[in-house]
Amino acid sequence: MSDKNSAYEAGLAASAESIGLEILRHKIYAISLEMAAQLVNAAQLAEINEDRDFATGIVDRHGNVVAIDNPLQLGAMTNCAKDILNYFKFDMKDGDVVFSSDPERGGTRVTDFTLVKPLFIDNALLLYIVVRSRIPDIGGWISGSLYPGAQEIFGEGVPFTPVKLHREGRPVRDMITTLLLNSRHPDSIKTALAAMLATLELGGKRVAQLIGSYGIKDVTRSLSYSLDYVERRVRAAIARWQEGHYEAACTLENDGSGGGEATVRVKAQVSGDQLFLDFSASDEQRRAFINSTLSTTIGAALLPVLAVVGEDVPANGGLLAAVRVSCAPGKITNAKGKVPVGWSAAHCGAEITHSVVLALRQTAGLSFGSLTAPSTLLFCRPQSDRKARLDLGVWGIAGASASAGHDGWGRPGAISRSTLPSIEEWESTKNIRIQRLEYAEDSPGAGKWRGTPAMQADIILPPDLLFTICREGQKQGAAGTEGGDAGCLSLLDIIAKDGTAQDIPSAGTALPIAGHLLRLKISSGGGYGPARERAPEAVLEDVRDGLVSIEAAARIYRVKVSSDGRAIDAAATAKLRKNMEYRHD
Amino acid sequence: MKYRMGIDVGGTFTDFVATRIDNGEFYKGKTPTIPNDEATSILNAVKALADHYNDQVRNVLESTETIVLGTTVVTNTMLEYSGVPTGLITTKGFRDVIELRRGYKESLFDLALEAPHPIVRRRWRKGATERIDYTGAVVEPLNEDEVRLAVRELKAEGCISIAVCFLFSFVNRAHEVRAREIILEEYPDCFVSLSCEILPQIREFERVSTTIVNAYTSPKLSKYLYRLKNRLIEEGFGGALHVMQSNGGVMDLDFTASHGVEAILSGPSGGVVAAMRLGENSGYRNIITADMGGTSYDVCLVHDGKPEVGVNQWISRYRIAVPLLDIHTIGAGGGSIAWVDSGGALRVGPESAGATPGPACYRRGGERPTVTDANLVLGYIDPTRFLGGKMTLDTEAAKRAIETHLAKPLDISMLEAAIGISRIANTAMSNALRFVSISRGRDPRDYALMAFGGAGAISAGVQAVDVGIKTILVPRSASVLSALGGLMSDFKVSKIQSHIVSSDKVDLDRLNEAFTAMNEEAEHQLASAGAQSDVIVNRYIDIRYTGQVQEVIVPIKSRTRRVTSVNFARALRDFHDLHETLYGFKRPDQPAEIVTLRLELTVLRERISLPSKAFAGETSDHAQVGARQAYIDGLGMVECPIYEGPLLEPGNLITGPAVIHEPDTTIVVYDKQEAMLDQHEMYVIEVVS
Repeated sequence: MSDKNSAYEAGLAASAESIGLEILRHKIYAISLEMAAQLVNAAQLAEINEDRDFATGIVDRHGNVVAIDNPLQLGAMTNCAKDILNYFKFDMKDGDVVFSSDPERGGTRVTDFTLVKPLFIDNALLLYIVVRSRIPDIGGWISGSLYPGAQEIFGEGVPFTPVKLHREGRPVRDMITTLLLNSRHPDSIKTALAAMLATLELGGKRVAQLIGSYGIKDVTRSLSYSLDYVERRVRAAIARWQEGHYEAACTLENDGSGGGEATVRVKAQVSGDQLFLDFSASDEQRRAFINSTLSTTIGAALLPVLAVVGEDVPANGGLLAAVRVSCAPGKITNAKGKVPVGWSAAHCGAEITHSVVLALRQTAGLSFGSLTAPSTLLFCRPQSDRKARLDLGVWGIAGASASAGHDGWGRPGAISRSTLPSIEEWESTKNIRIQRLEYAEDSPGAGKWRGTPAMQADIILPPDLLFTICREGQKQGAAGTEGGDAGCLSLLDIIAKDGTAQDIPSAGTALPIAGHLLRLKISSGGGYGPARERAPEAVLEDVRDGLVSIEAAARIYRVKVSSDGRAIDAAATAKLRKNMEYRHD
Repeated sequence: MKYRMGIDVGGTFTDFVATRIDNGEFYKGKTPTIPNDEATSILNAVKALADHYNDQVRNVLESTETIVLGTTVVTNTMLEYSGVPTGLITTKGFRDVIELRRGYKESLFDLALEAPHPIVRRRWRKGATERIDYTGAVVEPLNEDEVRLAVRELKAEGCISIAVCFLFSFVNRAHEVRAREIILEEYPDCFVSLSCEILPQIREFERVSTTIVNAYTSPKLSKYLYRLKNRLIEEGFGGALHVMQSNGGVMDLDFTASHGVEAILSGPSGGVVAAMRLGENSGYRNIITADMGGTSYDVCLVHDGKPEVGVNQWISRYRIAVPLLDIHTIGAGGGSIAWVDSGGALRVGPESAGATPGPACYRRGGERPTVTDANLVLGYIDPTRFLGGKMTLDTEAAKRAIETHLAKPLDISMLEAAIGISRIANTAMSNALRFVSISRGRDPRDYALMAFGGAGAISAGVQAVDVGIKTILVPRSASVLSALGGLMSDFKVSKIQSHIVSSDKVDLDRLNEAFTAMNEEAEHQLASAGAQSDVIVNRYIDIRYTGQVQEVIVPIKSRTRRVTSVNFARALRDFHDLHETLYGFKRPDQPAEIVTLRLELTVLRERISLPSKAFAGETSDHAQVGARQAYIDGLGMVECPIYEGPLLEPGNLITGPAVIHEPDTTIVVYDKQEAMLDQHEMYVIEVVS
């Protein structure tokens, strides 16, 4: 080799190292994604393969999440893993699989199972493979563990503190039996555990293969490199924000237990390249299932940050180093003492996210509207079968809010990880007919950029059903932004054959409501910017597409569309908009 | 003399391969693709062939027995959203299924991501009262007046194509068939696509999406194909014109013109078929094909001589659920741009410089560094021989781009940055190889990697080491493989039909009836296409455990046309085993769920005889034409011998590091690798892992 080449080689070491670590970072992230794909394909539960309510990840020896497929569960995976690592600090063996589902021990809900498996290489603990997944039932008052009337967590199900499901490679049968005994659907738990264990196995195998190719030293170093990389990217974004202290609040309408409204308050502090989000000023926790654990709060609070930094930056523990989320115990955003938390992923999760959006809007120059929308809890079961649970709420499909420069489309990003069932598959297995699933006219939150229209679902009901309900969005739809209108209100009607609608309470459990047709419409997306600034051509397009009526075009957008709906009356539109300016002046 | 031609119209070049029937002689070549004019591009390819034989285009066309086309018309129509005005008639109350997309968004957090372009505008999506339930029973009869009114409105709006998709039409097609009759009564010239014919499968979003893509693209494809045919006839062509299908087969014009959605992977599937045949010819039935172009890297796994079938394809943000070859594409190619992100990490792609402005070394205005620039700087590409010497590359421009955009911001040397580009691009490509093998339960060590496309063989040696592959195959015709695939493909029709039943309640008579109906329809289509020899039937069942959303495709091993109870029991056993291979566990104690029946009918076309040469000696010294510096992992920049490919003979051995130049392809043989040209014009490179 020439001298010139020797120089190249010598100089190569440093750069080759960082490029090598970057390659390993991608490979480790790819393992978490492959684990997720395997879990979805293998699982026999809608919670996993349709709702995609799970997370797969790789965690370092200190409990930092290095790679995770689902950023929404970063807080939960971190806190669960750290609790388990601490609990089994001196008792973690090769072949062990530790299980935990206690919301008070870093978890989220009793139905969220976390499995952690240590990976030993040459008798040394290198890292942990983790899978979290929601399972359909683990006891509690009603099947599915979503119980609006719950006064304590035991009404929702049985929480398990960390226990070993496998000890040195052998299943701990009495523990597994105990788990299964506590569910109305033991076979579902059994199949879910099989899929989760296979996923852990796959993750371990892939990391071992990586070590086989790159060596233990490089793989170990890539773990901290991955954390540093993400922290660097997030800090670079925060450093561009205006330093200062910002506060915001968001209120949910209905806590499900008759306690009425509950408010989430956040204090955001931008200091250099660090963001602090403190929720300690939120309402006191209550005996209602809208309480959130700190893990749920962290996940919901990080959503707007992730939307700002972009999907190019994968979430991992580096994000948590740059964004510190805190809350005093005993608040609805950091529930303690075995209070219920079952509905927190929806509410007050949505309020946590939206309060952070409102706070960051003051500093980070957000160009997007609301990231969330109100959710409706809606289950039913035949009177004769306590085990059964049919989720009708799955057809309550919220709309995405608009962003600067873009109309909303599809569902809000934060919940669009799940897949909606196929109507045909759903009808084939449930034997219930959906009569309509289509946009409702004049439903989008108006704005210069409008939100996604509301989807109206009409479902033909069989007789003798009991309904479990918790409604949100009856007073306020998804928020509008920068002068844009809020999304439409949510609607839930149960209509008798003679056309009369029944009174539906805001919340209740196993309610006998007779009716022939259930009509469900969740809030549309909120608008962005004033409706009067929407391009008349865009309004005409919406009229032609049946999304906005001619009347609403004139009343809301101040655009006069010809009676055949095919053209804009430019003069009349100019006049309408001019009148509007006078009024606003 | 008589010819058969395979022509593949790509984005930059139109590749062609012709074989003379009298002596089996091959001729391959490339002509520049004329943008938006595939017909002229094809005639230019014919002219190039005529020039080679010092003949007239007319004489060549009059002597051509068959032309098989690989076309990008459907793909480009979807990429550019340039299809025809299309309407949809669907069950009243469900016209937004296509927008709802079962809730799918490509990104959770990219709030600037626009909605997919509506290839059927909402105003052209019409509801008609009707309802069939999941058993196939009519709950509400079709309101024919509403269908008629919808057709009149769509006609008045200028729609020239109408898709029909009613709920549960896959169990009872009566309403869709009647709707077509009404459409044609009202609008005889209208192009009609029925979902029960395009994709008779459960899941309404997947079915409506596939059907409207067919409706949107087919009229344009049809117009193009018939114009082309007429133009070829005018120029003297009297033979048969066939089109490569996405399932790896060929079909006639009439079938293709009404099934545009089946031609969506027309070009890439030709490459896979040729790779499969050439691999088999050289003794390899398990291969992973890797086609590296300017903007993409396409990989497909061929197991035991059969390419895997894809079940989850999207094109231009529309779901396509007809059976296609499982070609996995990533946005990594020669034109992929290298950049530094805000975290200080070197990244490659997904942005591409394309052909224009192209890499910096093209001197067409591109200033940002690309994979091709790195390949040039690292000594893999000879700047004077790019594209067979048709283009000279500017090494200094490549160095400048890498220095300015990468080396300086990263505070490393230009060479280090070039190596970084190469390593990161190779990692992305290795991950794609892993995706089609390891993540689907296949061990890459059991497969040979066949590299093709202009730049595929430059980095195949690195990727093979990365994923543990021991043998690399590079055909001499690597740069025109898609065109060659057209000559090698058989007639093939793939059918699917939903058939949902628990495995312990299967009625074999019903199952066989369904297979028979699918068989008859496919046989009819093959007969219409002129496919006349013996038919090979392959049947498969998609099976899953209850509650799963992803099925496993299980072949039925049967020697007769009837699926017997033993055949079925064996398929079930295979399902449990395959499930364990793919997903790590099985539950043989649990009944499984049959979801879909698949049938594939193949009629063999006459095999073209591939050239074969006798082995010569091991020495390759006679083909060594020089040496130059190239970067070899583990050795650094070293002097590599350069070999002139056309001078090599079968049996000649080349020990790495070395570079072999074929007219349109560069092959890099890395350290601890050894290349040999076999008797079938295939470079076989053995890798020490």
